[in-house]
Amino acid sequence: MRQYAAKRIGLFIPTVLLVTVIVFVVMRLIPGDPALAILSADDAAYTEQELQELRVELGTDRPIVVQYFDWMSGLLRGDFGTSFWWNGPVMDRLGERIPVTIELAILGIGLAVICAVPLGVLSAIKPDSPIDYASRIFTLVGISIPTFFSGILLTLILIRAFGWLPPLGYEDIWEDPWANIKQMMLPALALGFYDMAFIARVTRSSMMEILREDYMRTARSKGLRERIVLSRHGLKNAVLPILTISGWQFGRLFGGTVIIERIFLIPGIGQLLIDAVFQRDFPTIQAIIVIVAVSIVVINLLVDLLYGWLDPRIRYA
Amino acid sequence: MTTQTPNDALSARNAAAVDDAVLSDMRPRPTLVGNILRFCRTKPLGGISAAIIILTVLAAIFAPVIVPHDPLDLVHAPFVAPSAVAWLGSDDLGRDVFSRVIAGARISMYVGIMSVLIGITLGTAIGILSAYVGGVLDLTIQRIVDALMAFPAIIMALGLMAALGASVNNIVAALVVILVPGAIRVIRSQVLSIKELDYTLAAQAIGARPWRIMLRHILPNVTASYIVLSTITLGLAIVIEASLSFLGVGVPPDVPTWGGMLTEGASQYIRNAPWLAVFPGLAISVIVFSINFLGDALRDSLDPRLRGR
Repeated sequence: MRQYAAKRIGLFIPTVLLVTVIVFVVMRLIPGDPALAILSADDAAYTEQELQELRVELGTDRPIVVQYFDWMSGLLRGDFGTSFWWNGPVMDRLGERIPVTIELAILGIGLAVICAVPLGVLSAIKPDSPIDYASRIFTLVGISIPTFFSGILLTLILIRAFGWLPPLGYEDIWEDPWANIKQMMLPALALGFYDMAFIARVTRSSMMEILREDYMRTARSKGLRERIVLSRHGLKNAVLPILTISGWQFGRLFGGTVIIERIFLIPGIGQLLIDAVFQRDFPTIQAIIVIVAVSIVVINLLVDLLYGWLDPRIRYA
Repeated sequence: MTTQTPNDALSARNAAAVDDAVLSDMRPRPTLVGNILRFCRTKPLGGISAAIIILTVLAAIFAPVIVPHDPLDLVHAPFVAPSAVAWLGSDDLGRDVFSRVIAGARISMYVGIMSVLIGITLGTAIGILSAYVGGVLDLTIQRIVDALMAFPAIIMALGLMAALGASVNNIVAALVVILVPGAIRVIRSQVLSIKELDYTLAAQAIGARPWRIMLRHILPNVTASYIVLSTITLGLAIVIEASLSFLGVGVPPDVPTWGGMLTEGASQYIRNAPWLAVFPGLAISVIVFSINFLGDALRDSLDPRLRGR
């Protein structure tokens, strides 16, 4: 296990470094000079000296490699630079928004797994039954509906069927947990809808493979009850791929939060990212993209390590 | 053939099976039309999906001729419900939703097909090179692919659009960056095994140059994966384009797009004029559903090795 972990962490460090390089390079694709962009924003008049001073202040007068190392050393100290837009550290605003997005993502993946696993198992133990067909069509539809449309459809169904819509906006979870949950449930459901369909499909195929194993027949022939056979011998072995996929999907979910936060007016980092894109606030965009990408690399590392720990076959592969 | 009893059909099928077995060596090579017919027979749902996709592409190409009204003209009263006059209703300004949905297919199909063609072709080329050359080149490319795959598609697209500026071709460029790493990974893993097969080794043994082996021996054997990959990623590309337009950072707002129409429809009017959001949303879902279905069917019939990926 130690060797496997060392190998996996050895891959992790260059990946994280490359992620930061990619973000930095992409943000330098911007045509033109950020200092010029800021000064000429409202057709304001400026002098050559002001331009030079701002370049020095933003650090864009120095060689690009120096700028990169500057930015990196800031990242390591938790300093993500100064926003072009509100003239304060990017971290100030990120700090209050990150927990909101994490709550949304955890609720989303939680709901997805809770619905997907029973659906996939039911489908697998009764293949080609009406339940199986219904769930297969449902999941195929589920992976085809884009996140923004499932959000809109869920809203529409609630309005039409119950004439009721949960309040939009955001209430802090520590101040009013009940109001917070009421507001977050629908966005989380819309966010996790795709992942639910996806995980249900993986659960079904993984469970069907397990059902054909010899030890399942052995378990039945020694007289165990079907429920025990399925849960102890079946699901327990099928759970590994489900876990891996859920981990990966959790990372993907951060992409979906951008859209869901927009629809349901939730003040998370997704909203902040879109506002920053409209305001061309590059330090904020850069910070959010790095944070999301590095979190995903970390989550994938944890999933791989967990997988290796749970399933010894992986370590020696 | 005239009327058929089930029995006739069965014996015809048996006869065909015997034919297959006996005549397989004497038959002319399967033609394109023959292949397509066989695909539609064995995968009817895949055939229907392909028909929907082709219809959408045709509608996109001939949109200016097909649309009953100019998608930008205010031809109806605002908020007309779907009826015989305005098939899918009208929007807040009185524009015809049906015409706008048809016109919206243009951007979706153009962006989707262009980005997939460029992205998957580039990914295939790099994947073959990376796997065949190996060594430091392979290692470097693989680390870069790892890093690129850490970015969720939408977030990467938003960052690139911010840097490049909003335009249709910049969306294509952003999508290419997003699609290439996945293609490299799939193609590379296939080439790694093809590289060890006898015919590649034989080509090496008779002294064929590397580029010849890559083009004449390896490339033809990844075509199936190329087709399947292109189909599956087309759905992803269309969804990302729609998401960007939905967020307002894609195409300029006066061009009708499915994603852009959803934003307008979803914001204030969802309660009283749900058709504004439902029809463009349905258009996206149906086309993506068809693409996913066709991708699955193609994968099963073209390349069993890809099954379960």
